[in-house]
Amino acid sequence: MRTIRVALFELAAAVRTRRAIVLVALYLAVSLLGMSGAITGLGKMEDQLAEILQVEKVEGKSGVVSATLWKSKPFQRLVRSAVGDSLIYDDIVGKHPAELIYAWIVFFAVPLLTVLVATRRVAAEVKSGAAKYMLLRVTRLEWTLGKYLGIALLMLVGLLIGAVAAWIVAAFRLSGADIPALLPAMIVWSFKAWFLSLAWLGLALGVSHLFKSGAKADIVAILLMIAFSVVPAILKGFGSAWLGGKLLVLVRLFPSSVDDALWRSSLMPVAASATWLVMLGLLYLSIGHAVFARRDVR
Amino acid sequence: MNEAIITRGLVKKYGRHAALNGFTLAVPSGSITGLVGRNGAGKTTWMMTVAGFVIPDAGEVSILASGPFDARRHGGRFTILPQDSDLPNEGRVRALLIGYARLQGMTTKDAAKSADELIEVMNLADKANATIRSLSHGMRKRVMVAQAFLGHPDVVMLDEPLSGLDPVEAERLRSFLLSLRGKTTLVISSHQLDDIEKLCTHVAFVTDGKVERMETLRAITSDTGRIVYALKELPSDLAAIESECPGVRLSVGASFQDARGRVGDAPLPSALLPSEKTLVAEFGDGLAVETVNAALLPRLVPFGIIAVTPGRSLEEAYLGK
Repeated sequence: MRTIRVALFELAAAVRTRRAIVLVALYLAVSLLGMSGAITGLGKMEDQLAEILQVEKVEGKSGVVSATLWKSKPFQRLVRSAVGDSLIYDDIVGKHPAELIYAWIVFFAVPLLTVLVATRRVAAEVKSGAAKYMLLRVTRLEWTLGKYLGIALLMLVGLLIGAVAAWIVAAFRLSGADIPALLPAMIVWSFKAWFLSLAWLGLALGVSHLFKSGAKADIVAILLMIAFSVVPAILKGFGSAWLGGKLLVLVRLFPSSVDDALWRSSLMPVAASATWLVMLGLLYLSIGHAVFARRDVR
Repeated sequence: MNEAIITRGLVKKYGRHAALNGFTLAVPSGSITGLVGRNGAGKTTWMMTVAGFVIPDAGEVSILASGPFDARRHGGRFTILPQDSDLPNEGRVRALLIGYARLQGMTTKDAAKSADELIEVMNLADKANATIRSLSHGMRKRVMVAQAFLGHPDVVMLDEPLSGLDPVEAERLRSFLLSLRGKTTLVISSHQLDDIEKLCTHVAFVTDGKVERMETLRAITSDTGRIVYALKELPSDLAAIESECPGVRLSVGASFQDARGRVGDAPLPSALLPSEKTLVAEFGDGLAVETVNAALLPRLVPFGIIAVTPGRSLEEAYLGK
């Protein structure tokens, strides 16, 4: 109950400080600009394809050629090869390009946005002394979990608003009768991205617990974010030679190695991946908290 | 339960420096205990340790006879005004106080009531909806003090509560703190010994990370063979009075400050004290305060006795004058 109160306090503080507006603005900017840019790129690519294939261009609207392309066997083979996972390919094949573009944008942007938003939340309050007014009233664990929950809710709101904004852009700039169906699809992708964000939020807040300086926490969290994105790829590429097959399980400790399953459509792999991401977030958070619980708050 | 806070043998080291070096102190329930000591003596570190912000290397803490600080047990019953700790800049005074009160488990209605009472006490009614950022330093300090009294806690520790307040607000806060005497246990750390003397029932002298002396204020200020008389008129012939009271040396006090503060345990409102000169009587260990008063008071009555303050001021006692 007190954790929920801390979460609500955090949300209220985010609104007061306009952090909530900044976060929503960031998600909006990423969704709008990303979607708009991607659709422009898609349009240009389709125009070129139409020229090469000597088919009729659809002026002012993108997506028609792509939708047709999905039906082409050679194109499907190309995409299958690029995806590298036949199960994922089977789930994404035939989906509207705008939906996939949106999914790619949010999956790409979520780690950075999360780190940017969350890394200072504990460090800055410890430095200013504001943390003391909270820690007189709630335990350090309740404070940590409340902050995690509060920021998580804020990010969900940001992602959902971003999805609606991206859908509006898609509705204006894309053709096809399936545009209305894109909105629920984009909302589903937003929820999937939210689960991904929970792992990165755990990392960012965990790092924030280790420092009294927001700037130091920022630097370390960004470096870790880069490392956590690169290391799994390296381990996957060379890990079996270096570590042996069994130790490759270490790859599972990095969010970017488990988010592939979020591209699936079936519930089970998505739920398993989402659960694992939440647990990873809580693991990172608990490491930060374990240090915080034993340090002075001066 | 006789003690609101008990600490035994607290040690806290930063590198080779011991900020707390066996800090042992029992704060009586219902008392107002002043911590007096030089910068770096360990007063703030002790408060931070009792509040759970600083983790000691050794020693024991018990608050309200229920172990060291734990927000689940002590949240709302024990609070602190920490030193050098900013409130969230964008918070609005009333909303922030209600938020803190809710966090310590109060209902929304009770939280609002408590916040409004304290806003009134701290004279912040016209700033209730202002952001912390927009407040002056003194106003922020009053909000910080207010948060420490949300929900009528049993024990409140105040680190330099009066610093940064203008004289009017400082007096208002003193009156508020005095109104809590006997109801709330207060621990006050301050370098303003006048304030400690006006407010506190007990005083602890802190030196090098430990308590050097802890007694009632009366015991500390009355054990030094000295009585200060505030008079309407000064006697012209002090030698004549001295000759009738063997063992007593009389001198004219430097200012009315020698006599202000209290008679016995009761603090005197400073408005009642005149700025006339005072007479200081000093005597050796062989004479009791009562004996000296019995000899001097009849001789001083013609000069108009306003106040009789046995002992030295806290500042004199602390400085060993």
